[in-house]
Amino acid sequence: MAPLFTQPSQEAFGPSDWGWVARLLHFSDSALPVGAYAHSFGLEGVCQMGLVHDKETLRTFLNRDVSVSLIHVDLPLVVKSHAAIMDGHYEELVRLDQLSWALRPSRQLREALSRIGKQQIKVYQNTWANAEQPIPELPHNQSPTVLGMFYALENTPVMAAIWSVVYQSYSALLQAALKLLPIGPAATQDLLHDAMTTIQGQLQLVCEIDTEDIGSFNPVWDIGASLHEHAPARLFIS
Amino acid sequence: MTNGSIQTKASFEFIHDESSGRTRIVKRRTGGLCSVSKPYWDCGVLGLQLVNPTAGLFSGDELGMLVTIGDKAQVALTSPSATRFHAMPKGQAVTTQEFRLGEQSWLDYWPEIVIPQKESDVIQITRIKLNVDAAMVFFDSLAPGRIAHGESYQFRRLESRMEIIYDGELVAKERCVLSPESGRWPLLVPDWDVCYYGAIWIAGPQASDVVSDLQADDFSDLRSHHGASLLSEQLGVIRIISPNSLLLRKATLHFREVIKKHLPLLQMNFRKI
Repeated sequence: MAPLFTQPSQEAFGPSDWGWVARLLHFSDSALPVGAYAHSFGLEGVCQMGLVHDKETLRTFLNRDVSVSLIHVDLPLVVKSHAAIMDGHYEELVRLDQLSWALRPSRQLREALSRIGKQQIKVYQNTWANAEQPIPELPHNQSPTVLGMFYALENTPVMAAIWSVVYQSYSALLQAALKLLPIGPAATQDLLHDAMTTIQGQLQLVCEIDTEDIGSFNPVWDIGASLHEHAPARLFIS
Repeated sequence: MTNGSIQTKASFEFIHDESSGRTRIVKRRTGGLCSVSKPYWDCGVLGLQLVNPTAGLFSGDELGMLVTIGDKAQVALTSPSATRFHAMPKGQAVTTQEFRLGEQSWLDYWPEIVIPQKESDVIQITRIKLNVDAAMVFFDSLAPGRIAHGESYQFRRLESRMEIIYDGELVAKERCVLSPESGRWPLLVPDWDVCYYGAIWIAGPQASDVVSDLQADDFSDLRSHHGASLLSEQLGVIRIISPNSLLLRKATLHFREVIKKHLPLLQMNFRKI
């Protein structure tokens, strides 16, 4: 009877070949002190509009609206930033960071990604960064460009970087949803699994998008995020 | 290119005439897809209607338009009626427009709504370059189709790209691709059969004050949604969605009045019936 699983040869890869996994786990951790917990990335705004109000409407939001935004905006920016570092094209990285900022449809979303990106750089400098390897200066420190840069500097495969950002994005929104909607932790795990399963088949597309084609359109989400800026009461910064 | 299609490269250049203190049009190149009305001054602003003689774009049509507004020149542009993307079972039409605004210049761009009809497939590219202290109010709006004819979301594909560059810096970029394959409007508002969309971009030194007023404005139309945001020190936007065209029009005209308090050049009478 053939074995169900084949164990990879222990000699094939040494511990040092898997060092990027340590970086990936560290930076994918929702406990990373970058302030993501303080943001809902527009979710609170669309909840205040009454458009997302329970588990099923949140599922639709994650599987349709958030996944489109990830596939057409954030993930291509991660891929292009990763490539810019691997190819040594620092000017391209600066251009991508400006593009990431310009693509955000509201001030709060622009500021949220810059604040988080700035903190990610700070954590990186205090942990894994090589003192002899200068970190390129970016105009806005947008999180997708920072993560693409960081994972490339740490030799993390680009698809692993993509999955890390997918996980962080859904996880951050679901953490916010726990406070905004009548759902519990078990429901968020179901939604997280569903969202990651749904997006999986589209991830290859991310690597094929040209820089000029990066962008998406979601007026309802944009309006929700804009309304949140001057909402009379709010839990989150964005 | 499709047989019978039209390719037009239109361009217009405006300058501020120091001797008369008025804006003049010094270059006017029109063609099959773009003509203009006779210009006229209103409150110091030169007004012009951009006319599309074919009443829309057909498959294979390509319309390029370059508008150059010199330092201190003040221009208002509109269209007399909706821009229609006609049925095109095959092929595609492309429209490219670029606006270049000199220092301390002014542009009021307020065309009628875009209506993508059944089976249309159009790429619309807009690039706006503003120099220091230029100011602008730029409106664009989109219908879901010819609703009166029972057409909604029956276009094949609509792609809209927009870039705003202020003093050499990319400050906003949008890319919208709508097609039946990708569903209707994202996150369609419950109970709405269709959704009309409008956006008013406000650029210039007054952007911050304008957005503050738009955010504080108590306009309430229970059936529309709108939100304003200051994207950078010099650029703000208010987006509006409505369940029908009349409500969208009512909302956008209301916000035009709010913006006018800070930008008095927004006085242009477009002389439409």
